[in-house]
Amino acid sequence: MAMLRSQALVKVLTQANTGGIQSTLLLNSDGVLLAYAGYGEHEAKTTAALVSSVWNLHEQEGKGGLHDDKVRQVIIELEEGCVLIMPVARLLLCLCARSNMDTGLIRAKAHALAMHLEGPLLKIGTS
Amino acid sequence: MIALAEFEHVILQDVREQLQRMIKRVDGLNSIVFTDRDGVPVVKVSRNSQDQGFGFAKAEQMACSIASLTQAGRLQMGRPKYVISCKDSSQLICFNENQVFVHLFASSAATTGMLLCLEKELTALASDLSRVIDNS
Repeated sequence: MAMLRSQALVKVLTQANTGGIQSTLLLNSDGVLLAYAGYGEHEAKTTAALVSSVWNLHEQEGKGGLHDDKVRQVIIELEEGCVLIMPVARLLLCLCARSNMDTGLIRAKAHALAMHLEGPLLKIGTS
Repeated sequence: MIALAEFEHVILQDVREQLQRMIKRVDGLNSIVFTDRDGVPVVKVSRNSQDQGFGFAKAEQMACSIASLTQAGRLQMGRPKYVISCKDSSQLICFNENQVFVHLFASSAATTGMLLCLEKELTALASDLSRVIDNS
């Protein structure tokens, strides 16, 4: 039976927190936080709840049509930062960045992190 | 009153023409819709005349984008400026211009950066439109 080493997971998420990325979150679709790397953990829980709500809005909207157009990524640009949400092995990966960081770089980091996490997280999901 | 109605008509016609030019300029951009805060379309312009009707799916997408921008406003990271939703075969960008929301419907092959570059031009048009909305 495969188990999740939370410390190792947090270490991987921490690696993304450079060059303007303030926090990295891994959560499920209900908004429950699985792992978090960054500052202010009490804020992370609120962020996770809001992020999952935003994702579910976009995901629900694609369902029910004749052809299922799945959401691959949601990026929200705000005055003081940028938030990226993408699915990883039935979970959600969220990166919060400062406003001075370019969206393309956040996208690249999220993609790299998702590629790294996808395999191990899928193993846990199937065991 | 008639003068005001004519003025509004001229502004809307001018906005439509500019949007048509924008759509022709950017590859993969299929339609541009200006809506109010409730997601009710104010101006809509499409590359194909068949798309002008805008089905239920697009109305739903626009409502979801506005709702997600409202939720994002609670993240304590300032006012949300825009949201990009990338899907398997399409992408939708929704700009938040105070009174007016601007929705760009594009194929997944369209360059997101090119679509984002339209923001300045769309902001100018949105401010013109918000004047019309204010008056009506």
